Amino acid sequence: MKVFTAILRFRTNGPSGIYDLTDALRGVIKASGVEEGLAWVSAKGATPALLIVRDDAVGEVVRCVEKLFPAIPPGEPWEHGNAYAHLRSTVLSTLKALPIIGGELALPDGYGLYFLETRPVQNHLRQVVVQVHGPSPSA
Amino acid sequence: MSGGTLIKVVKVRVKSSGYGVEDLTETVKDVVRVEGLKEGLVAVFTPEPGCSVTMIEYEPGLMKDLERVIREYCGANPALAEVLVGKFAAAPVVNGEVALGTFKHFILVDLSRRAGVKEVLITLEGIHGDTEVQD
Repeated sequence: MKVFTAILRFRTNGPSGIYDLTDALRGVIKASGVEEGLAWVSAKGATPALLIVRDDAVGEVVRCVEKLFPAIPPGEPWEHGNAYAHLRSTVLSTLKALPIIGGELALPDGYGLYFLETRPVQNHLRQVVVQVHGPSPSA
Repeated sequence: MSGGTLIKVVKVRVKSSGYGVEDLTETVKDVVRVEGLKEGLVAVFTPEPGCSVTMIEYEPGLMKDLERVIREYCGANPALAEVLVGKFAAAPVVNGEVALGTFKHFILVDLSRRAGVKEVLITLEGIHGDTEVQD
């Protein structure tokens, strides 16, 4: 078995900043040399989320998530100041896995892997771990 | 790259009051360390009915907020919570460390109303030995 790890670092603005990681992910897969396997993608931190989503639906998805866990909920406020950010992260997940076939990411045209910044931050450093799992290189 | 493949499922038992949250993070880190996973994935799952596994900051106020969301969105039905909160969470292991960030924890959410010992399955998949990290 081969495990190839790369860490993507980038700066975000929020709330609801959205960042397309698809090209960076393809670059890691290429660098890994894995032809057949699985790419695990994991955002560090307790408030971001990763989405596999149709490119032209990103805005709608973000609005849906904001409605599901609003910053100011109806009735009582949240106990934890930025609970909405944590809940969006927890339910959407900071982890995704995508298959690799023939050395290529198995994503249909028009879809991407996106990072959602849920906090009201400026120029915030984020890290995403990409780990490519595949068979051992043949000797 | 050298190092052997490691694929192993470790069963752990967690005491629970039957309604609440247990922090699994140190247990997960211990299993990764003891089994010697250097580069790979640690996946956490619970087969227990009425129990969920997820990742979140483990802070009392936020646990109340999570309970509120479960109550408002899932009513009193633990089966709905198992879907909304999930039965599974996982994180990469990089150079022997579980890559979580500062505040993210693995937790067990138990809504079963049955006190006792709950089973959690921790699956390790990857390499023990030398590693390859592109940074």
